[in-house]
Amino acid sequence: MNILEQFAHQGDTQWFKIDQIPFGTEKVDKKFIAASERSGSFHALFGDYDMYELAGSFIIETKEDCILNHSLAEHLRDNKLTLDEAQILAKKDHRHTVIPKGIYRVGIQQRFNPRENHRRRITD
Amino acid sequence: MMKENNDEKYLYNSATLNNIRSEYKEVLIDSQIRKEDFEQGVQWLYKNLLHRPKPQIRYCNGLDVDVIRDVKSKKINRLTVENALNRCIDSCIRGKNKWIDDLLLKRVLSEHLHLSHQHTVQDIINGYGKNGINLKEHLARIAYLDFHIRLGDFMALDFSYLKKMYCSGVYYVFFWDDFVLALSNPVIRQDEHGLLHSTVYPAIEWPQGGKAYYIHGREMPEWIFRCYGTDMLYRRFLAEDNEDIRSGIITLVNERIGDKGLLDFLKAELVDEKEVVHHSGYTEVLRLYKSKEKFDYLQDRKGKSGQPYCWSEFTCPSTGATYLIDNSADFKNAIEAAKFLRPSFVPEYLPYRWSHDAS
Repeated sequence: MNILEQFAHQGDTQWFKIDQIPFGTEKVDKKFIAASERSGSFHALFGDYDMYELAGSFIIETKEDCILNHSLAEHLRDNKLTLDEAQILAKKDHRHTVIPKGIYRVGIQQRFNPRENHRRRITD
Repeated sequence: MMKENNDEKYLYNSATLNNIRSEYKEVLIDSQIRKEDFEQGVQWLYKNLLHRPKPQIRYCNGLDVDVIRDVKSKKINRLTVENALNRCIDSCIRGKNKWIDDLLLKRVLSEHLHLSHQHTVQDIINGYGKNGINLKEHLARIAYLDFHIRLGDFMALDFSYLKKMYCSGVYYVFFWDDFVLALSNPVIRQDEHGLLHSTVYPAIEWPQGGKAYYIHGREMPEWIFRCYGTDMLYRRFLAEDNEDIRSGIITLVNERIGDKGLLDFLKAELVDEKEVVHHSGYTEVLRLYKSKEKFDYLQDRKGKSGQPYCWSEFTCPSTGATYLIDNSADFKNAIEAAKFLRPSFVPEYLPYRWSHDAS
């Protein structure tokens, strides 16, 4: 698997275009890419895609233009939406991003902890 | 849908509609309470809709926990009150020969009489009690009714009491079997985009209690305001894990004492800055700061102790908020430092440039 380019970010979620799905990754049900319990907000991809997990990151193969939304969980519930439909939701902080057909590895921006000398995911 | 031959009645620039709009808009923003009107309305509500004796009424300029907790009688469920009022309002419209459901007018009034931040305020109120209703939230419905009554489309005998209660200036009402607590408007402070915001006072507050702090739409803990101006704020900023709170502190300091003040607060020096051109000409300035002071307990990414604090500065393209993200103090180049904060699977050689989108 090669990372081809630094593709897009929405908030602290970062998308990198890759050339293929790595061997041995585990396909998972669609889920939020990131969520904040405190604010009730989430980053999630909507549309036709397959999702895999790999070492704390996601591999996503989009089959069509999909919509990456940053929204509130209540909007999903109120509108009875699923992750299978490419829909634009009311934004929480970040406008939606169109993720075109392709294969991506998705991770979260990190923060270095100088007290413990290691990087970890940003929390919000 | 009613068919009306006389189109002049329903022209949306009619004098009646304009009068309704301005009258109810004033009610929406008015913080004065007309006690006599409110009491007449509540008395009618209890007697005619809730079938209870006249309650005792108390007025409050805030959410006083002691007052609410000390009420001994049984709470009336919010839905009980709402359903009773809804049935009364619906009966005014349905009980006539004509069914009126003018969706366009409803929308016009709803937009004009929109109560800002009502869900956030409701969350604060819910923390004190859930046995109440927001009167100002329903002004559009009362205005709609009033409009048709003035045009003679129907008559509603009890409308005057309904209107007195809703238009009394009371913002929120708590209901008990024999007691009512009437709450006035909260003070709401916003930024230029209509987001809850204040770097000096609570963004939502009542003088006698009940408040919440927000900076550009994000809720903040009270301690960042309480500690402002003391060394404690800087110490707690360094110890804070939550990036939104750290960003809020930066905004608070920045708005109150400017960029220079912010660097002073952080005791930081600018080490490097670089402009990066991303997709479609979107540019971003990456900055690298370090504190003058070094600390024994801080290490760089190679494990070497005795380092200063080091931050990479990013600006969110969507919100404009500035984020200072902790980084390893061995960096001297802003771009190399930013690369290090990408997910660990990203190789260092990959250029730092968003090729498609950033939001």
